[in-house]
Amino acid sequence: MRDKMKGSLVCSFESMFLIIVIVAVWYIAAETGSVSRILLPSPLTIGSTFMKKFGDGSLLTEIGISVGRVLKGYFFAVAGGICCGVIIGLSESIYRMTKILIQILKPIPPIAWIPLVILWMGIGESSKVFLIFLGGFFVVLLNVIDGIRYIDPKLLEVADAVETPKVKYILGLIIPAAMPSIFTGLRVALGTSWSCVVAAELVAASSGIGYMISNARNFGQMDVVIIGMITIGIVGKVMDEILKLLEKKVLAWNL
Amino acid sequence: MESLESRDMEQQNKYISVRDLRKKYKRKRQKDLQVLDSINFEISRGEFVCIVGGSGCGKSTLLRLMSGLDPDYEGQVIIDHELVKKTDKRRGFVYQEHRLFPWFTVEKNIGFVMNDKDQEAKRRKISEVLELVGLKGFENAYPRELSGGMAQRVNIARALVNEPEILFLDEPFGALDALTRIQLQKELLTIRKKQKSTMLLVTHDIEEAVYLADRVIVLANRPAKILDIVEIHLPEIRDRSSEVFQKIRRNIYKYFESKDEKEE
Repeated sequence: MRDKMKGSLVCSFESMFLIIVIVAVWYIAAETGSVSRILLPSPLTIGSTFMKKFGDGSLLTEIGISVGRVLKGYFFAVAGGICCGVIIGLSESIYRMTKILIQILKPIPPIAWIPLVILWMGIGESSKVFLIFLGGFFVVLLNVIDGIRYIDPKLLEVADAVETPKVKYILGLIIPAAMPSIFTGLRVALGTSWSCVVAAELVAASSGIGYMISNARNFGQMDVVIIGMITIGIVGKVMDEILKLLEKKVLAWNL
Repeated sequence: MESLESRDMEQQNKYISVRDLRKKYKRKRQKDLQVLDSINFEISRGEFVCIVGGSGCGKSTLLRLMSGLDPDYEGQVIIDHELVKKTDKRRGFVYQEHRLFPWFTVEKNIGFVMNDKDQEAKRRKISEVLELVGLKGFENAYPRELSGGMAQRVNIARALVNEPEILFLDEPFGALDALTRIQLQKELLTIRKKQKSTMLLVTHDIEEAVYLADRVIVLANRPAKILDIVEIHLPEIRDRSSEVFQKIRRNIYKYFESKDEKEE
């Protein structure tokens, strides 16, 4: 068990091996000229561009802007998803009423919402935050609903038998019992929210990591595009690790 | 709950009275499953009654109906002149599985079923009841840190903390090893002496029933009907290996033996 905990944070040789091989092949392919530098810049070029972007702080600024947007949208997605999820999960009639609607809305990717959202909210901050919200909301919602509906009825009976007051019932039993499922939702939703910010910024933005990529494309700077892509991956991984740490704290009883 | 007019003096004096109790489970595209058929018996205040029967015979269902956990039945369950239709704080229930919340400590698990406003009184009650089941000092332990026997003690403590007049126990020691079971049976008698509550225990272990009960109700298999009600005239502290004890045990065992032979 300790090995499992360690494994996720410490970069072991096994986990780095494949990455090293890929970069090596890429390096050889680029440096020997077997692949055009316009199509795929060499890792060296990317390294030096990265140092430049990192050094003048522009990369961090763009990351900061994108992360800020994600946190806003994610906050609304989590708050809304948990509140609605608890209400729907606890009431059989509301569950039946909303079931089909949720099942139809859920598979619509946030990107498909972009035309409507821009029409309604313009290309300002609120439209991006709303898209991120959409990306996370349904994932949180469905996990909260499932988490509550699959609570062991035997535990519910313990509370029912002594006429537990509603607030205590929800905070002391429903939420903690659904917590493992809720956390799965939180982690998946953070991932989808993060990919939504990039999609939103690719379409309409003048800042952020997605903008950095689409702007670099216009100038044919594939090195910057690749740096943007790798950055998105790393930031996503770091955010997931932070949530995992939180999960370990909150769900200590479940491990 | 409605108060019932008494039929006659004798029945009125009885604390718990079960009259013509029936229970059916509705099934899709099949005949309804009759699990209890015309059950009648009475229990006096302070009595310890054990209900024995084969597995799946409906004995746990009987306990659930009597405690109000399952209000869907025909006939009457009357406790203290009131028709039982729902659960009540005056009736404690010890579940077959411990059913402790894994996210709470022992103290919070017991506290969850209490609605006391006064935190000091609440803590005192919890500590009293933990002492009664021999788990003083385990207030801050989590369920996963407890052995099966300890978890079952907490289960009993939780049922006792609201000082119930009746304690329902649904095969409380069924999942424990033999030594722990004997130990807990002994302790249950001590608890009974202190609490003076009426106790109803369901079990498939005949020896357990003879060891604990003032009376043993023997149930037939599905649909459950009462085969016999055996009065146990033994001293308070019982010797399992004594001649009389074994004789009573054998007499009850016969009900199940003959049943098996018929099936073969």
